[in-house]
Amino acid sequence: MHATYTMLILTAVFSAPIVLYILRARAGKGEIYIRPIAGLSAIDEAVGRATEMGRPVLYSTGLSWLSIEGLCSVAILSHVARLAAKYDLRIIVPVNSYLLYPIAEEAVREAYADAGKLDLFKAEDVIFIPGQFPYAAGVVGIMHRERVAATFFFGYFAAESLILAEAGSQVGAIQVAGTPDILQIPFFITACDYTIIGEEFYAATAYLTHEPTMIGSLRGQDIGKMILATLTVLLLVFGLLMAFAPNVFFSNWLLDLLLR
Amino acid sequence: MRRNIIIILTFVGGLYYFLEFVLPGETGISKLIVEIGKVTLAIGACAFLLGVINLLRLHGTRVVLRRSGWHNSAALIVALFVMLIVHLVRYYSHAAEGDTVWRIYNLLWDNMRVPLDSTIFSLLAFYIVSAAYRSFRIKSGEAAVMMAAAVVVMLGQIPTGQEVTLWLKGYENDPGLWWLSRIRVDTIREWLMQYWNGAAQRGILFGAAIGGLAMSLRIWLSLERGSFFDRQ
Amino acid sequence: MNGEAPSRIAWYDRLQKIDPRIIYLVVFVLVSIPFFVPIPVKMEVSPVVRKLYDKVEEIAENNKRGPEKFVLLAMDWSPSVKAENQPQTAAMIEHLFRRGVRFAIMSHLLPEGPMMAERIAERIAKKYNKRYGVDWVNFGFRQMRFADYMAFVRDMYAIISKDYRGTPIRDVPMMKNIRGLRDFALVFDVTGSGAYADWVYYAQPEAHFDIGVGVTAIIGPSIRPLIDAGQVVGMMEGLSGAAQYEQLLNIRGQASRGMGSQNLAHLWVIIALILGNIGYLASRRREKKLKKELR
Repeated sequence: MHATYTMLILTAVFSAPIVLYILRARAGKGEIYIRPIAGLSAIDEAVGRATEMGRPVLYSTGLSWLSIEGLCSVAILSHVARLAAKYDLRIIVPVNSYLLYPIAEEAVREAYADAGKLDLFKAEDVIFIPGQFPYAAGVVGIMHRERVAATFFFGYFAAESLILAEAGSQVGAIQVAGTPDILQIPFFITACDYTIIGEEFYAATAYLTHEPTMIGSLRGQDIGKMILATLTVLLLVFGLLMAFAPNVFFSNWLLDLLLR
Repeated sequence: MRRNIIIILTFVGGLYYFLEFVLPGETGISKLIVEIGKVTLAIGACAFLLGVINLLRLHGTRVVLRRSGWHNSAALIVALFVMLIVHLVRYYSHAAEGDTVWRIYNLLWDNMRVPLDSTIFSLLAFYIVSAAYRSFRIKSGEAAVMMAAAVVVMLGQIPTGQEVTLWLKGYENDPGLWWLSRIRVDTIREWLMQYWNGAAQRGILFGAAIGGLAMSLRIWLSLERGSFFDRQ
Repeated sequence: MNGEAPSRIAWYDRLQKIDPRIIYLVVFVLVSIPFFVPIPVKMEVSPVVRKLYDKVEEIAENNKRGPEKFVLLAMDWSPSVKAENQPQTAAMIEHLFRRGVRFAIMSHLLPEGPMMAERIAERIAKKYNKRYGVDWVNFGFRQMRFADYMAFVRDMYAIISKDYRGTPIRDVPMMKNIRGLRDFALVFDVTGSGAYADWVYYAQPEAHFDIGVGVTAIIGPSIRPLIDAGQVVGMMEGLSGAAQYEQLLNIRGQASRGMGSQNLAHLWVIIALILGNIGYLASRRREKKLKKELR
């Protein structure tokens, strides 16, 4: 399969703002604003509550592997681990992917080391559990045994999302979840206290790390979405014209051009 | 030096597929796709083995050092080797069905692996009911609309629900009241799923596609930042 | 205890706080009843299931007149989603055997899928006197992601060298008529995850086959835009989709038997929602009344 002219033009149109804003952000030109994301503010509240109760927190990366979702999840894990280290809190991190496991372990270790509390870090609290439902069963068991006070679900989740979230609800944990997979969002919304939806998951990484590349990319994506929305409206109008006035003079020409 | 090599290889690899996609017709570089695919297939097979080695390393360490939960790790390692050995013996001995090794294999697969997996998944049936009961409350107009849509969709996909409005189908050929046949729960369900849900899903797909494009560009042009990429 | 009357929980609060154990028990009982008391089901067939069925019929009819086309069954499912995906697989294989359309089984994501599909094929093959290698073939599992998947799409034989049983693929009798993916008129992807995306976005533009899907009910909504765009020709959505397909085939299979349980469970969900909301609305009304009295 090869690209049509329309595909080429659209690829250029959507790629240009992304690359442009990344380069601008890295050059320090212009301040890019990211609105506060409610779920991320709730992380502090959740960790604070766990500290008061003296119970550990659990951070699940779901079924993420060494992919976009996995790396974004580790970035958020780093933030949560720093908070946990600051308050001398234990953080348990079950990981499903053998590729992500060393990165997650390193992120937690660094967080404790940066807080000057490396002695509080326990390698056995970063647990590798392969398999989708074995992972779910394992995490549910951990939640019940350790009586976690707060749970964080960030990453790619499939059918096990509700099992995890409901188990957290049963132990009375405050729950914050975020996943780009839209099919699992309804389950997290019903069972969790705060949910970060879709694009906000990627924005969360930019929001927490303030990394210019991430922020610039986010801005470029937003421009791309606005272009897409505009195109959709224009094509909708065009489609309606075609339906009600099929002999509009430029319609065939435009259609041929789009499909070439 | 290492980082520069990675940047160059990443760029060249991405550039190949990009050119292959944009250049019209079959070109000289199109022929390489199959050969490159075979190479990545071999690399994928190695990654499979890497996963097993990592699994043994992590859980083996836990067993040897008697860390907390070591007995779970021991059970995992035993299960891995038992399943592997039984399967290899079954495959290479060309055992017939009914032979001992087949019966052991069926015991492990049909009577242990399949029910265990299905059982955990079936927990969802219970959790969905309790989660829906606990959280679906008509707190606003939008919530009421959502509730109505949920009830219609659920009724529309079960026989009892469809029976409730099945009698309206009789009006299909009625010149004046044909529209009544369109307001059955199953047709309304289909309409909600195809048009309202479809539109929402499409919108989300747009966002996900652009997000994927952005990530691909960042990786291709080695603009990506984060703990993993900074360590390369 | 101290001579005080125990506080009474209002009925509307009770309705909002039904013990989850009671909810689970009712689910368990309702799902179990049809195991002992079979409940016959008759369903309205949805357009998306009908389109999938008609597609297979069209392939069978076209095979009588022109060059033979095949069907590829992509079995990207695991035991966890067996309850929904197995009946879908069985219904499709039954249809293909019945109409004499030859098919291949494979998976590029999960090793369990081809294995479980093979058992289903062997069971149904006895009913129609079909033989492995002649009427169907199983390529087995080949883990493929983007680059090797593209190679597979361009040249199937470059990636598939042996079948599931270890026989060199070119020695399988059925493969003599298959040059590549373009000889498949339909790919039927059965999955509980997003495996269909690879077929739709990477394979279909290259090989120009139609795609049908059998998915768990949770994935169903995300297929709708693809059906609207014509990229997916039809779908079996969850257990009810498989039951509708069985109805078109005039058989009472696993899906039709399972619909009894799903029927009762769905009704219980609706009842639970209604009870919870009756309690909620009554408690809100009571609060408003109390506030009014206090003013």
